[in-house]
Amino acid sequence: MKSAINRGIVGVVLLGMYACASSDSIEPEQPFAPVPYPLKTPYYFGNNFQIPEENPTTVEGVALGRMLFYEKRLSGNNTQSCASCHQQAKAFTDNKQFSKGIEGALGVKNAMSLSNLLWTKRFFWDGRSRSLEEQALMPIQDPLEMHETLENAVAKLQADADYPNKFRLAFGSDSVTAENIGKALAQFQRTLISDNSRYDQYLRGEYQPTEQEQLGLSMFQTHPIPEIGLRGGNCGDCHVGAMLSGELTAFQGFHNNGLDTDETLKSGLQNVTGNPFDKGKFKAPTLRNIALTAPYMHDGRFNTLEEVLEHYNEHVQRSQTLDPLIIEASNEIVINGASIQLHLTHTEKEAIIAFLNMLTDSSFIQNEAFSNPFK
Amino acid sequence: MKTLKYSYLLIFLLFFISCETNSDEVQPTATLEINISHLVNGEPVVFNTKRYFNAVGNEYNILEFKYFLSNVKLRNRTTGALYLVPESYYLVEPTENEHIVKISIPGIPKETFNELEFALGVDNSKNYSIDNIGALDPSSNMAWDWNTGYKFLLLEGKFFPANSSETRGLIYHIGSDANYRILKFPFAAENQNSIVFNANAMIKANFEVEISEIFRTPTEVDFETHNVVMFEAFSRNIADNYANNMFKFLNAVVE
Repeated sequence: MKSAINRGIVGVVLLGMYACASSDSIEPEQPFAPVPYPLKTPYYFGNNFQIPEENPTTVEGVALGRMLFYEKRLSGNNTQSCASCHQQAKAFTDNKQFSKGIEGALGVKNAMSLSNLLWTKRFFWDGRSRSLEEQALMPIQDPLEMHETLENAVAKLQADADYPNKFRLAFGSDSVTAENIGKALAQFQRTLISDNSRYDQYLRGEYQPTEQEQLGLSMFQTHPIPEIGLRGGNCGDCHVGAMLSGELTAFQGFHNNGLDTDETLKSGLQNVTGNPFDKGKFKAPTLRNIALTAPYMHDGRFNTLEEVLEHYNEHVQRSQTLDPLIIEASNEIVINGASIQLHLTHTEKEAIIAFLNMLTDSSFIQNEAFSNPFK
Repeated sequence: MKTLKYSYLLIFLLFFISCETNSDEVQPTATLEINISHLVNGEPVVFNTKRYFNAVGNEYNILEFKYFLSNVKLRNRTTGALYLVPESYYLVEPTENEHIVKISIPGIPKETFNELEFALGVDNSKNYSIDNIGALDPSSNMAWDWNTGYKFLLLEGKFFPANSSETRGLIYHIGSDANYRILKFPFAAENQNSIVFNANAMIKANFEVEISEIFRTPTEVDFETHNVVMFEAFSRNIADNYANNMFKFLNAVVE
């Protein structure tokens, strides 16, 4: 008995010295020692990304984030998770114009596809969020989406048998916090890298595109200059680089693509900047896996890629903030006052769609690491 | 392990070399700061809201303006001394809130120079590469694609034709090897025509960029015919314009 007490005292002293832990705490089985997660980024995506210093990507954090991404208890009535509207098989969309929240009400914007978010600097169609950490908590609280308070979400996870230990392994404390929920979700989403489409294979010299795909690629990337007979589809002016997403600097990746007139134009980026010159500008989304992510546009108004091309080809509406590159996108010489038309041929449209189909990354949508861990 | 051995050898060698110059520390260096104030018609550029008129009376505004400044060199034409700032590629982009862009270049060795040189554009060796990083990262929308190279200078805005209520785009995307321009700026008499880049000195080279010069001299541009300039032969005239008078070297100040 005496020796047991003595050993107990020695134990307390040691714990106090080494871990500052209280005498009645149980020594954890696995120590807090998060392992850096190896993010593999293709060289041709460039290095224009920054991972927040206070949230390094770790194996433990990503594993927790993956659980949270599929965790329905983050919603008010435990029926929806992030994955309800961002389904892996559909390149993390739900193929609906607007998604239904837990109370059955429809959202107001089309659910965005998730990939290569590591490079993304502004989130949501109107760019209102600056970081994945911040963004991740917003749909949880949105009354039209998961409609849960962070307080309740934290309490539910805290009461769970497993989560507190998972939070400890990832962040060093078994107290669940909203901040750490955001951090873990952000870490998981940074791993959603799509870089194995046929287009990637072409860029790496592993795939020879068909003649039609080749024409589509060239049309996609070229701004037409009818004066010198240079034909183009004008897509790459906004969907830039190998990621085929908007420009990364400030709000330069936001454009008014002529969906509406001044009278009917939604505010878009103006919501965030307050600048009337930003009215009707929306984030140019990535076109990766675009064949899987219908319907299209911020309001999901187009059901097919053909409809999207028809829009750019002959239905662009004029407005004050219409992108100048779209105003000037024509394969025939523009006369002042003429309506805006691309004048693509049928063959060219089909070729562009063939190229867009090259962007489907089947290994991305089948990657086990991104799938539901509860199944 | 092998590299470690080589490192020791290198340190050993360096020690010997530095003993000769009687100093065992890294040589302190000077810093060159290139300050560029971006103007239209002599006033700080205002994006979106301000309407301008070019030399032939076309009304326009500017939404975006950026260009690559690269291959910075300091030279002494008398002694032949030359310092090329390694990997010097800078994407210069004035914004709504800041029309002055500062490029800080540390590591200039102690030397007397009488000329500053840089280029507008991206040289051939970097122009067609897929894996360029830093200022040349392809995500800046300055890369067309990997066969066409970079846009050296991008100016986007709107042109408001006098004869029509419909706005046109004003789009200048100038690139391709032929439009790469090297610009040289001798240090002025007020600096006794040369500047000693002493250790730890800060030398500020102050420039103005008059954006409207892109449309002015030697070729006066009419937007009715040239509101979009990209690959066509006319882009050569635009490159000549921006090389001619767009940069004005105000002075160099030694601090």
